[in-house]
Amino acid sequence: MSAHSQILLTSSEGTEFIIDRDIADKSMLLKCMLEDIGEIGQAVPLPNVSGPILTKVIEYCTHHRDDPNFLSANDDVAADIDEWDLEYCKVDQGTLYELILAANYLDIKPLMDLTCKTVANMIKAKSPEEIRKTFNITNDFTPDEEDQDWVDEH
Amino acid sequence: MHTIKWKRSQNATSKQKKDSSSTTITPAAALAPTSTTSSSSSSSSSAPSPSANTATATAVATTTITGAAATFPSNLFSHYRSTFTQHQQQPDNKVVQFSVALTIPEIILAIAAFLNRSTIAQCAVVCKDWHTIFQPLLFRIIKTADFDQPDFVSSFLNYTRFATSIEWFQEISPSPFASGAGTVPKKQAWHRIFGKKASVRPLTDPWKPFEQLKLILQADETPALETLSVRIHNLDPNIVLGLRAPTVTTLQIGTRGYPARKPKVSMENILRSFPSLVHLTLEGLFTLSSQVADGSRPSHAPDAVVGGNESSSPSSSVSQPQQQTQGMSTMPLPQAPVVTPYPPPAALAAPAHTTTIAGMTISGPFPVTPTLPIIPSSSPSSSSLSTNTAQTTSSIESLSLRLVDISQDHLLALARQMPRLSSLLIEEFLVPDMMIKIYRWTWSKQFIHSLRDSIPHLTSIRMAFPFDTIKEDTIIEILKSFPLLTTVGFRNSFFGTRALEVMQEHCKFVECLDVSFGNSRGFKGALIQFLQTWTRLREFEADGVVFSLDRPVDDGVPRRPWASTRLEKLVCGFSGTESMIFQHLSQLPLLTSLTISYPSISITPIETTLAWMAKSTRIEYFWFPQVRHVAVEKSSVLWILEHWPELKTLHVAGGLVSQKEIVKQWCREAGRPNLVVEFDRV
Repeated sequence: MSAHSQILLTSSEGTEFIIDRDIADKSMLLKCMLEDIGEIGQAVPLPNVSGPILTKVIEYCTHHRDDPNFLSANDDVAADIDEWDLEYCKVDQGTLYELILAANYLDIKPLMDLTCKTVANMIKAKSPEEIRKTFNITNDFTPDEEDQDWVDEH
Repeated sequence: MHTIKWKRSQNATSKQKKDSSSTTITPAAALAPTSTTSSSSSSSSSAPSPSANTATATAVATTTITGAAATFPSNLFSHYRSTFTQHQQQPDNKVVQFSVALTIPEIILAIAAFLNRSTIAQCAVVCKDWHTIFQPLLFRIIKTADFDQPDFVSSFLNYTRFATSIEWFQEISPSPFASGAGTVPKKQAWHRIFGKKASVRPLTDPWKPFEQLKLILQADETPALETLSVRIHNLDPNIVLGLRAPTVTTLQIGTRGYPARKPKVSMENILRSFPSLVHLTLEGLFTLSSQVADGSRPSHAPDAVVGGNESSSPSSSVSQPQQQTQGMSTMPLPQAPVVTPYPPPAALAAPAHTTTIAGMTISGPFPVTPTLPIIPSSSPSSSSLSTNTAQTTSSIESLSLRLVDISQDHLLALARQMPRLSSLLIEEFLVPDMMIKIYRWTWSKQFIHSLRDSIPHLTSIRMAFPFDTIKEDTIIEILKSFPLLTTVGFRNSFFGTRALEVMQEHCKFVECLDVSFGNSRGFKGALIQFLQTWTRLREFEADGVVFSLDRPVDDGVPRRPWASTRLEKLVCGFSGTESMIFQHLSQLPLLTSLTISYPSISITPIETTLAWMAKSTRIEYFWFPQVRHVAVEKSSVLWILEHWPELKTLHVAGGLVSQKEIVKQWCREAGRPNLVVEFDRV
C-alpha cells in the first residue's frame, strides 16, 4: 500500500493521536484545516473532543475508510443501519451525546446522521411519559398547562 | 494498515488503572482532570491546564446557555464517576446533560429530521424545556389539513418563522350548501384529483377563504419558507402572486373550475413575486404567457391563447430551415425537409414567427437582474425588442404545466429566460377524467431547435398530449436535440421502434422512460430488447403494454431476463400466471413502486404469488387489478404488511369496494394505520 501521510491530533486533555490522512479526511473540518496548513507535521489540537471520544470517532472513520457511499446524504430514515454501526452505537447516553457533539464539531456527516438517528429511534413512537422515563426528565407542566397545548393528533 | 498510536503526554502520572486502549473509558473522566481521585485511564491529571478544561467545558456546552457551562464539568464528572462505578445514574445530572445537548439548535434539528410530526408533538409536551425546543418544529411543514384544526392559525402566527413548507388547498365544501360551488365533482374524483387521502371528513368546513393564507404570510416574516403549494377554486391564479413569500423556491399553483374567461398569468409577474424560484408547477385552466413575447407581437391583443398561431405575422418561408438555427447548435441541420405534421400549412406561420423571435437571441446567458421590469405589452414592433435589454434570466430549473395553456412562441420566449431549465413537463390532463384539448402546437424542427438552443441542459422531458398525439419524427428530433436527457416521457404518442433506436443511440443517460398508452404497432419487440440490454433504467412506465411471460418468444424476441434490474418504478402488464408474474418481478429487488396494469390477478395463495417478492422490501406503492368478485384474503394482506414495511399505498383496482374498510381495519390492527388503501372500480 502506498504510504499515507499521517496526521497528529491532540485531544482536549492532551492525548495525542496519529492517524492516516485519508481517515482524517472523513472529517470535513480536519480536511479543510489540513488543506490550509499543509503537511507541517504539527499536531492539530481538538480542544472540544476528549480522548476516549476521539478514539471512538477514529474507530468509526477507520471502519468506513473504504466506504464509497460515505459522503452521500443519508436522510432516509428507513435505510437500515448496518450491523457494525448498530453495535457501535450501543453505548451509554452520555457517550452517545458526546459523539453527536464530536461529530458535529468535526463535521462528519454520516456519523452525525447515525448518532442522531439512534437518538431519534430512542424517542420515536413513545408517549411523553415514556420519553420522560428514557431520559429521566421530570414533568414540570401544571395540569392546566398541559391541556392548553395544541398538539397534533395525526 | 491504519495506525492509531496513543502518545501519552509526558506529564502523565502512573495512576492509570485501566489499559489506555480500552474503549470503555467514560469521557468525563478525561474531562475532569482536576479531581485527584481520577480513575480515568487516560492520562490527564496534570498535563492540561485549567484553561484547557474550561475551554472544553465551554466548548462542549457551546452556544446558548452560558450559565450551564460553568457547572457543566462538575456535574458531568460526578455523573460519570457514578457510571464508572456501575452505580445507578443520577437523574438530575442526566437531565442537565441531555437538555444541554438539546439546546444546540443544529443538533435538535438533526435529531428532529428523523422524527415525524406526531413524535415531535409528543416531545413538545414532555417538559417545559422540550416544549420550547420542539414546539416550533411542528410548524416546519404545514399541510392543508392543519388549517382545519380550530386553533391552528392563531398558534401558527407565532411560529411562522419556522415554516419551511406550506400547503393550502381551498376545497369545495362537501356539504350540500356549498357556496358558489358550481359543479361539484364526485367525492371519489375529488380524492383522486388532490390526492387527499384523508378518509375522515374534517370537522370544519374545508372551504377556506383566501384571506387566511394571505394573513399568515403577511403577519410575520417567513424567512425559512421554501415550498408553497396553493390550490384555489374558481379564482384567478394571479391572487397567489400577491402573497408575500419571496424566499420560496418551490411553487405550485393549481386551480379548479372552468372559468368563463381564462385567466392569464405572466411568467414575469410570477418571477417578480417569487424571485428565488427554482421549481414551478402550474395546473389548471389558465394561460401562462410571457410579456416579452407579448410585446413583440405586432398584433394588438396579447392573446396568448394558442389559437393565435394564425396571426398576422408574415411568414418567412419555412423552406429555409438553415437560417433558424443559432450559433449554439452543434449538430448540423439535416437537409431533410421540415417536419410537417398533420396541421395544414397555414399553421406553419407559427414557426415563422418563431424565427423572428429567434432572430433576437443572443448566444450566451443574459445577466441576471434582481428585479424584472414589466415590459409593456403595447410595445409596437419586434425591432424595438431587439434593443430591449430588459430580458432577464431566472433560476428556474423545473417547469411543469398541466392543462395550462401556452403558445409555442411564448414557450420559446420563456425558455430563453430559463437557461438553467433541466426539467420540462407539459401534460394535457390533470387527472384521468379530466383531459382537455389545449395545445395546438405544430412541432417543427425550428421550434425544437430553438428550444434546444435556449435550454440545452434539459435532462427531463415529459409530454402527454392525448389529443394531439405526437408523431414519431417529432420525438426523434427532440431526442436528437437533447442528448443529456435522463428522463424521457411521451405518453399517448407514437413513440415506437425508430424513436427507441434513436434514443439508445443519442441519449445514453436515459434512466426513466414513459411510453404509456402509446399508439405504435410492433413496438413491443423493441421494448423487450431494450429492457434486456439497458441497465441504467430506474423507472419504466408502459401502461398498455403486455409482456408475455408464458411464451418463449414475444413479438419476435426470445425471452431472456431483463437487464434493467435496478428498476425502482415499474408500470406495465403481463400475460401469464400469477406465479410467472411474481417470479419475474422478483428479479427487481429495488422496486419501490409497482403497478401491474394487466391482467387481473389474485394474490392468493401466497406461496405461489407474493412469496416470490419477499426480498422486495422497499416497495412503497402497489397497484394491481383484483380478480372480479373475489375478496382479498387477510393472510395476503398481512403478508404484505409484514414483508413490505415501507408500503404507503395499496391500491386494489376492481376489487370489491365493500372490502376497503375491512382491509383498512386489518392495517390498523397490524399497526399500520397510515397506510393508504384504495379500492376502485376499474
